[in-house]
Amino acid sequence: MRFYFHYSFLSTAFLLLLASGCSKGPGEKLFGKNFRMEGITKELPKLSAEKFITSKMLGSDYQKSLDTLFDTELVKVETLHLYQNKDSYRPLLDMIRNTKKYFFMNVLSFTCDNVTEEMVGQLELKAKSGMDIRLIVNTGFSYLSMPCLKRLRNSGVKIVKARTHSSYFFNDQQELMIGSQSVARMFFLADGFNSLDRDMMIYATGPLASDAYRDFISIWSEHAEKDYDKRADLNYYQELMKNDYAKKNRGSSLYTKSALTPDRYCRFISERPNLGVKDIQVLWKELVNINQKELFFSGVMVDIGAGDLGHLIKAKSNQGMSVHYLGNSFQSGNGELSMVIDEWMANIRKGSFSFIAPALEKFNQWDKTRLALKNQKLYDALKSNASISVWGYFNFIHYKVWLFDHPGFFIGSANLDEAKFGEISDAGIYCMDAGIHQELKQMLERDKMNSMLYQPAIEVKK
Amino acid sequence: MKKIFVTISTLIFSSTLWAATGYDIRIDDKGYDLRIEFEFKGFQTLHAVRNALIKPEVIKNLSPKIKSLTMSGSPTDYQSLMVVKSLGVKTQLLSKCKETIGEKEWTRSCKLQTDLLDGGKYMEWKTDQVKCIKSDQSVACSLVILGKTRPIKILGVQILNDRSFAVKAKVEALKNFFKLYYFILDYNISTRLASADFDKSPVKSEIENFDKEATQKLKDEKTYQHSFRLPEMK
Repeated sequence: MRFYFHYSFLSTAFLLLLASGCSKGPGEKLFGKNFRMEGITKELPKLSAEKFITSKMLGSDYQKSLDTLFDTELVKVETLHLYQNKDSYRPLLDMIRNTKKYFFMNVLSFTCDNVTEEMVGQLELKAKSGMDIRLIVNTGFSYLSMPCLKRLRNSGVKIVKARTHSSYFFNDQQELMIGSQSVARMFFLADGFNSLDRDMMIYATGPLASDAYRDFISIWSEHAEKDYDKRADLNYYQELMKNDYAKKNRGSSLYTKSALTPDRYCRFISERPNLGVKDIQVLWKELVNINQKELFFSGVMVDIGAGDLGHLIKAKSNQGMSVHYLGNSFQSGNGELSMVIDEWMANIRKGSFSFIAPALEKFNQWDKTRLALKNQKLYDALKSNASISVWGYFNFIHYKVWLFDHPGFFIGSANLDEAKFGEISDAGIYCMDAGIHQELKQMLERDKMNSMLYQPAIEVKK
Repeated sequence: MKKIFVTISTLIFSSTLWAATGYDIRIDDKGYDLRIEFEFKGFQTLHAVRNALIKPEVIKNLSPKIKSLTMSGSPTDYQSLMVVKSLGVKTQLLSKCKETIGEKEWTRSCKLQTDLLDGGKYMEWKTDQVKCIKSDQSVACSLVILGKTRPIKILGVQILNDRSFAVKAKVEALKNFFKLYYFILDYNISTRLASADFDKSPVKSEIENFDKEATQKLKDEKTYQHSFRLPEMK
């Protein structure tokens, strides 16, 4: 099923009417309401198998040229597994359970609620047993979960606040989970269709965790208390690197042939603005530049500003590259804010303060409209003088995935937001893997099928 | 004369045998000649070293006197504009730089534009060259900074002769480069910790001693020469 819509004032008004006519309550389990949107495609589309082409990005020379741009190197990954929505929760719990020495988390927000309780309990247990459990959390968001953070601190979890937008978790077993999920019920109850965060995480084992370790201690050491002693962290990092090189899992030992063999290769990429590390922007530019056939990218929002990357994507679309952006529509709302308001409304309606519900409802609608109008401008800017298809999902798209020509892709926390680049830290991984590429393509195609194609407003003559 | 000085120095630079971390400086009537050597024996990559040495944000964090550093042009051929504020005086220094970026070797050479902005007010000429080489065991860098300062005058009155000014300028350069050294040694993780490491290091007190000794000696003598090597770390 596809919707085609005009994201104009008129259509917004129409959607408001449409929206007010149906129940918008999020996840049934959480909110006790049934939201059914007829015609949702839940099955994954069948795609024709792609040939494993010797694309430029598999060339050793190309990877060597990327090496000159980044602090991190290409690494061989042992396991790579994609998790959709709530499916990441159990593997995350397993990662905590597998921890023998340390478990580090770098997230936008960390909330203690009925869904994350098991995770919080596991973290407390590990911290109390003397393991090194650390959390980097966004300074602003930390104020929303102060009792939760206090509880973690009391159990021995060390916490640092920073301007982070990253989302990754790793342990001493070289397990890494990375993407864009925070620790909150909206992520771990979501199925992609129930009006909660539509998200993805990717799990990897091997040397990527060493690069995540360095990124983590970099942010940690810049914000930690004055008595922080870096020596143990740096020594451990050196040990990790020594093992990676000994196993020939990183660096130049992977470039012995002119083209990489069809294994799993990834590169950890991050933004640490205070140190001038803007590698995600650099990577996207490099990969868009060599990409030929199709580019699919997504995010909570897209603001190309006057940056080079937006110009490059537009130019490539005009040269015949198929470009799709998957983002949010009016129905997506304002992410977690809309979800929390929905949650309040559901609770309020049950109690004696039900008279407040209509006011909250109005606020929610106003906020959604405000955001839709903001997106309208950003989508117009993206589409202007370019052949780019912009899709608005019916739930809140939170994943930041870039699908390049087979077999390259990026999963991480950064939006294409020129205004935010250089302000907050973000992280992700760029990989080459045929299986995950195919899986991602199916996911994105299905999400596209459940989206509306954005069309710029048509001026109506009075 | 200047050309001969630069050419000889360049020849020496290109044939330098990599030494342990430290520096050599000579100041005389012809100008100054500062050579710094860094050696990293951990898991530093050549490009991480390059990133540390060229990122404006890193340099600004490590040196509070540098107010801004902007680059324009291509990655291998560009202009670098540095705004320095010292004793309330803002100075704009424009340099032309060229880089070669290889798998195992990175070089950069910059020349101060003395005919543009404030460069000519303080310097007759200035060049700096960096060369970093990656081997199996380490990344080694050699920096050669050559130039001739002008005397500092306020309202026509000379307050620092050219050699004393060279000492002050090179003390600042040494502090900045050794903070960068500690930053790279710690895998580029934190400028805050790098500054703290530098403050606790023997290099800091050594540079302060150099400052005092050179300033004193150059009052009476025309030439001053000094060398320092960090003890080998285990």
